[in-house]
Amino acid sequence: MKSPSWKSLIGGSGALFVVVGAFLAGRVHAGTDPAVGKAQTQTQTQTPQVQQQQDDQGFDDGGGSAGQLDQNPPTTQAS
Amino acid sequence: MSAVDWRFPSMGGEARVQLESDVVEQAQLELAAEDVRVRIDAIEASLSRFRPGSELSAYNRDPSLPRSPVMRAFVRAARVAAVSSGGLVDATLVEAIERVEGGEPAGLDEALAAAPPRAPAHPRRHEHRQLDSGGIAKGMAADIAAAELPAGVSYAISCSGDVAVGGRRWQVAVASARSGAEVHRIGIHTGGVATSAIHGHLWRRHDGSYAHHLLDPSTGEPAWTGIVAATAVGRTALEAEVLAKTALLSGPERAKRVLIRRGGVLQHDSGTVEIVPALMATRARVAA
Repeated sequence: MKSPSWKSLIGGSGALFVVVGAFLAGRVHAGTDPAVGKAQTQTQTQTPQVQQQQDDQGFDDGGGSAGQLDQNPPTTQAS
Repeated sequence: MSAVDWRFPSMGGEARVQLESDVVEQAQLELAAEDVRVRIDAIEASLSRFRPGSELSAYNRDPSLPRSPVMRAFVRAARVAAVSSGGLVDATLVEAIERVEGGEPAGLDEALAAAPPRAPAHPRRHEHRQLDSGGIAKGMAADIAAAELPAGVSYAISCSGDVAVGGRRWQVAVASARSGAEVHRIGIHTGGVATSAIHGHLWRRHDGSYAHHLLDPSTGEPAWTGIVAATAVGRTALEAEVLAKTALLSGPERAKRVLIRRGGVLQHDSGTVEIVPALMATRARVAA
């Protein structure tokens, strides 16, 4: 059996690179970052409701310990 | 522990000053809160478009007049906001906003039902000379007031919803664009959180059309992008304000990319609340 030439090997690798790159670019364009993964984006489709997480899941950084849920937290709203 | 939680009218909304300390006595903490109030009031007096005697109004009449440090900081912030948002956060839309605002207060759902097809906003080619302080002044005021607090004080300073926090880990509640109820909490140690939303100033105009105050710079008309509120986390309240407005004006396709670095929340026309987790934690100091 004839082994593939170096030209076809390089050509095949290049074609695969282009196909994979185009796929990933398409996902980024669609708003899904492949490096982030699907689990990173949570979407609530129900009517907005209060989230009462006691751990870090509902928060947006990992700074410090989660602590108790503030009873009267500062609020960001329309400005 | 000493603690202060004050609220007072400011910048067309409400300011809230929350201070806590294990090392500063209660009386001193209240003095610090009073300093914050005075600082915020001074910035509002200087940068209000609605006060003919404000420095901003004087600047809009004659930009060659000498500027105070606050005015210089605002002009610089407006330029940075325009550049960092690709022209979407445009503080020079004074004539357009004066043309748009006014009419009967309107509800969000009725306005969305009558609004034109959704489309992202675009920058315009030529900036005008006059400036509108808008949300930039709110974020800036929260940051400046926070930077002048004494050491050993934890703080959450909100100017009409633009919040600067520091000193400990805070949970900042995000309010629903429809009901005002809490839809999410953002955990942040030091930095800023801000929301840009269309429902805060929403009108039914005399011709029956609906308008709000977040304009598409390319048309000078209200931007109906498919997002009714965007909340952003930033290193400062000012940065958060610019990111939030950029996300809203960018529309759903691009908004997540605008917010992904430090996280945020998107509220869509449909009522969907989309949480965008941060890729990196916000730990930078508001002011070194």
